[in-house]
Amino acid sequence: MIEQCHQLIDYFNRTLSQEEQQQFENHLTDCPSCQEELLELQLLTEDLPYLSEEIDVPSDMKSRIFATIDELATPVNSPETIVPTPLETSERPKQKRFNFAIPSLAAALFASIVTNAYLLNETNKEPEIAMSDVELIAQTTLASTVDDENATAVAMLLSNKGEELLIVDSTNLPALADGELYQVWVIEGEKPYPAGVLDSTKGSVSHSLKDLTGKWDTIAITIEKEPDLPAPEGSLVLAGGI
Amino acid sequence: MTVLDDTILYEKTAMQDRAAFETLYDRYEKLVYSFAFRLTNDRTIAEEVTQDVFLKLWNGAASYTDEKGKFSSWLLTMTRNKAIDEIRRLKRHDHEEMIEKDSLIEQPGSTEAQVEWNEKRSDVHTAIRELKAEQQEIIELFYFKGLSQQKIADHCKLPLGTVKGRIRLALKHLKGLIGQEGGVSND
Ligand SMILES: [Zn+2]
Repeated sequence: MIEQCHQLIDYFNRTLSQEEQQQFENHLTDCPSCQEELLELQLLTEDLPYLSEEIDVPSDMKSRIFATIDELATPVNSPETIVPTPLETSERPKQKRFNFAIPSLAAALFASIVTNAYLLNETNKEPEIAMSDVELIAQTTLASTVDDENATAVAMLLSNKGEELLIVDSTNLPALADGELYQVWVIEGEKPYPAGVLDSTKGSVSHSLKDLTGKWDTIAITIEKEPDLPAPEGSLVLAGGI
Repeated sequence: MTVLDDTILYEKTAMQDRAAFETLYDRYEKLVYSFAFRLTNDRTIAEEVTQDVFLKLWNGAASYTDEKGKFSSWLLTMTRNKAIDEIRRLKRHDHEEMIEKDSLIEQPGSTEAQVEWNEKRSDVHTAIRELKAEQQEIIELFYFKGLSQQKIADHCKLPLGTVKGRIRLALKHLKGLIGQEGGVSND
């Protein structure tokens, strides 16, 4: 028997390191004995889950799971969703854990959001806890106001222990001239407030709304020559309701 | 019959048929959640595991084919994998701790899947009680606690090289007893 055959139990119980697991899987392809034993373990244990006592599931678990699925099912970037559509903010689950609420397109933003959530909460040494305090309040797609079908952005409004954070991630925005920048605004009724400048290489920004309170109804992006002006002076590129 | 049904529902789910997915969800929600709880002894983790399993099912992160055996077994293997990963990640479980048995109120099942589950539980339960205490323990440590071979050896005071053999022996013995109880392993 080859040495690696002894790792079958640990492979089945997933206690091997990633490297060991990979090596064992390689071994498995050439070792009929391990293949057979693994299959046997699977068959011999298949009745065991039924030993579990039947317990009541949380009454709102199904709605939470299906809410997540609805978010995943909505392709944020498809042509028919270019029209800005505010998400159902009224129906937010009480304790929506952030890790269940990541829309697929925005999943790439996950790392930066967590980092931000963490930084906003520096006294908390445990990222897991910081993450669970992050709540997705609303999310929307910003559409082009100049008939450029390719330019779009996803905006997410998050809350971390009551402190709001706006994340905007754009794609296919037209190139800027020298000295120009993309300014993000949150708008309450008629009143715009500057909410960060898009990073010129990544096309994204995360901005704390700590010093701003309001009932934002629109998020917009304009081209400006100076950051954080009291009101937009340049041309409007993208906008969407939230 | 159920096997065929599940496979068809799974295939529809893979095509983003929400009604099919919901049928599968309703059929297995309680079993997956209860099993995850049996493994983790923690309702919060059990819910996270359940979420993860059904999301993977819906978004195609895990794919099932008939070759992988019964759909239900595949789903429950996913559940166990996620649960033991979570236990290890969170390190909340002391492996010495014993699961508090009979601490939960058992409720009579109503749906077809739950009736089937109740019958199986009763058969497996009867069979497992016929095993010697050492065999019951090694199944608990191996399957429900997901311990490493070394930890099982330490716990049961067995030479490392004999652990795999002991596990197989206990499981085979159990399977034989279950077979006698009325063939739960057959469909
Ligand atoms: Zn081998």
